[in-house]
Amino acid sequence: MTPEDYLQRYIEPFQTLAGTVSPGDWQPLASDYYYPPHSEQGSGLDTLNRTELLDMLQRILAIEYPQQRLAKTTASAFPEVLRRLKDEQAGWQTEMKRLEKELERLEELSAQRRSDNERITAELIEHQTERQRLAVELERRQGESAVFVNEISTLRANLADLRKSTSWKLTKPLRWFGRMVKAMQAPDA
Amino acid sequence: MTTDIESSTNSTSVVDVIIPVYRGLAETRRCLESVLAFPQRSACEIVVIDDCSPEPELSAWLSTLAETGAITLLKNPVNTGFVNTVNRGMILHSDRDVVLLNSDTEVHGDWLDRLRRCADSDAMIGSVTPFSNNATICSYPCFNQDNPLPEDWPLATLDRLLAEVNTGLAVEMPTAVGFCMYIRRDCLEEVGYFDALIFKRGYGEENEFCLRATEVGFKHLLCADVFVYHQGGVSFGEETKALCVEAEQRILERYPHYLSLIGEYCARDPARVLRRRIDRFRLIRSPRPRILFITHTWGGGTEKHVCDLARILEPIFEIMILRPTGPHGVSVEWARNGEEFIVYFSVPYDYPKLLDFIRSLEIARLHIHHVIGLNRQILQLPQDLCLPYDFTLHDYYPICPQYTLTFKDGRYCGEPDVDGCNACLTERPALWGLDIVTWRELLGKLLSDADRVIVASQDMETRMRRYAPNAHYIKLPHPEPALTVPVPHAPPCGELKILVLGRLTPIKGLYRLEACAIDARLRSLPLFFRVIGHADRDVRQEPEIPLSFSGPYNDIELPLLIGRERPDLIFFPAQCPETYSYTLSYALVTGLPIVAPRLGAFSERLADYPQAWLLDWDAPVTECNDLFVSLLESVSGSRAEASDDA
Repeated sequence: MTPEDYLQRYIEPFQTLAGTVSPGDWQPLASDYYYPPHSEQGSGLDTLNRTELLDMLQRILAIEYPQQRLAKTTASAFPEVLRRLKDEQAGWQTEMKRLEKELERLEELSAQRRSDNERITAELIEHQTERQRLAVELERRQGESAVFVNEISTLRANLADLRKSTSWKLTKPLRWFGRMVKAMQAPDA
Repeated sequence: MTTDIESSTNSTSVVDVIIPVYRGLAETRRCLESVLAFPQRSACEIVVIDDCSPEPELSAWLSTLAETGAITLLKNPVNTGFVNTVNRGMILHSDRDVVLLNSDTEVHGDWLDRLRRCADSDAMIGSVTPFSNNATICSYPCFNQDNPLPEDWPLATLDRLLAEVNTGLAVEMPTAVGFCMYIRRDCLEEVGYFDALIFKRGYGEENEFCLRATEVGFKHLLCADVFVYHQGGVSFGEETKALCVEAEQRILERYPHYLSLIGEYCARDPARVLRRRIDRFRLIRSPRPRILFITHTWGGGTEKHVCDLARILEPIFEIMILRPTGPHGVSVEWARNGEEFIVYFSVPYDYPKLLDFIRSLEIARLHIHHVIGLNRQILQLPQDLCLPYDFTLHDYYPICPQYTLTFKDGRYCGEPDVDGCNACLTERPALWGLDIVTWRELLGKLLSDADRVIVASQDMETRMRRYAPNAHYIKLPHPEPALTVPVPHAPPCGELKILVLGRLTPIKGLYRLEACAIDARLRSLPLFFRVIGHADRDVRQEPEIPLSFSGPYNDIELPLLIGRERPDLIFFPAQCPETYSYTLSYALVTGLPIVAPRLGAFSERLADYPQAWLLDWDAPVTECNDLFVSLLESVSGSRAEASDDA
């Protein structure tokens, strides 16, 4: 069956549905509904507010403790859990001290970086200014160069005109005679 | 962390919006026109830097715009590369926050005010990036993808929606994304500028900058209430990918943990919540009526039909699909192309929430395709929601918990009486531990309460009526586009090549096919069996017996693969009553002889096909092979005549 025919037959009983929907209401949904179950990302915890966290705990309890009461064996495990938590607390305190030291070191490093950055920024600005100055200089030199090129062209044209003139042609023997005299007067001649 | 941002905007200081320009007049015009169209409460200066563009029209247009005083235009005398250009802009006013905005972006509304409010919410915020259609980890609707803007949602509408739905929300990210990046001056002063030596031409410089900033305690936020359109790849075109790879290598040299940092963020995906909030609003505001499909996660023909139908209905309806995620969970996804919306519920605990959620979507109708793998509670959905529904039968699950009417060895069971079925269930128990009578009562009610029970073949309807006579059946063969399978016809070269299509299981005739090949070998028959697909378990193959498998394939490749095999005949060795058979649709357009069992949908679908031979589903393999040999002679004769005529 072609898709078009199928569509026609499929929607026959409820064609009136089309275009009948009005915008619905916004229903908030807790953030953990957006993540697959048992995924190993802690994003839920990152994004949960207190109410959502409580809701999640209640749901975990409903799955883990469906009977909603603690068995005696479970209760006896609590002192052990408490002891473990105390150990963990001591561990975290040590870790806190280590982190404080690390923070001090990072602050020193940060001060050093700040000073370096100030220096580098100053250098960068200096280079930028220098580059802009050089760009201006380059532009000025290019302008001057264009002026010289024009001048050379003008002089070459003048020279060509001079060589074509009647007076230049008439004085040609005179210039030849002059050169001969100079050659004879030269010390080697 | 999702952060609620308190407004503490220091609105007196000026922000520089720096737009480096190299290529693309049309894109740059759109960008600048959008920036200039929306006055901001924050004082800002639009600084455009022409990095010696090779497009004179672009440079001329920028100069004209600068003359009006709308922008500050800087021109690089020579091309200095993206990073130098951006640095020049950031150095320009050493006391101002900056926004780096690519010239192929478009902004809307009070975008800058919102970005700034986010940036000013904490003294240790280094950078802020908005959502965009094309911005890797800030992409929307699909994360880490280059998306088109969602259908019916142009930039203006989408940005307004974000501003409304995600007001003041943000999440922390490992790095900003450079297409539109607000950087606080405090951060620039501490961290310095982009590294132009390493990342001269662009790509990666903002990531390296952010990693440097993170080292000294600055945070980078995704600002969830701003959307900026980003076309992408305008200045560098096809070079983009190579530049990205090069940039990544350079970052890794300095920060070997960079990829794991990004990988961890992607796995955690804390911005998903913010994207889903937008999705839900868009979905709720869609004027299209909604239908909820219920199906399994087993793939195969059911999945193909569900996807095909969702695609066909997409222009008129919003299709949602509910699937199991395990025995105690379901997911509901939005089946529109280009959307990634999906939510998860544990069932039965969250069943009331699931009902609320479905009601909030104003679902108008349900369509059950399959219930295998679902928590039993889901069967209550039609009743609890008081919604009409259809039920498409893709197999015999409502009357047979093994769903194919077969014994354990994959052969048709012949549909025994209640005792016979209960004996079968003792060996292979039904879902939820039900006996056959309870099972059929439970699912039979679901069928009889349905508006329509859609079947793809008459055979299926006849079979089902015996067990669920009160259901309202309608026959609708599956929708399929017109297929063409070009097969070169040539006389068999002394051996008949018999093609079998699809993934083979014992139910689909794997053992029967193997038996045919063994018989052909034992009797030295000129037959060769070739399967396009693979077997779900080990069987004997070539060179031991004349049987081989091509391996798994995609449906779209099937016509090409059939043509390439140049088969003489197509064989369906199925051992169960097929309800439709998609592979038969391909076989029917080849024009080749087809041999199939006289069982299920084959008989009616092949009734008008001129070259069909039907055998009893359990006919001895010798009978089957004898038919093939006789067909070899007739095929050779007819093709030889055809070639003579030609």
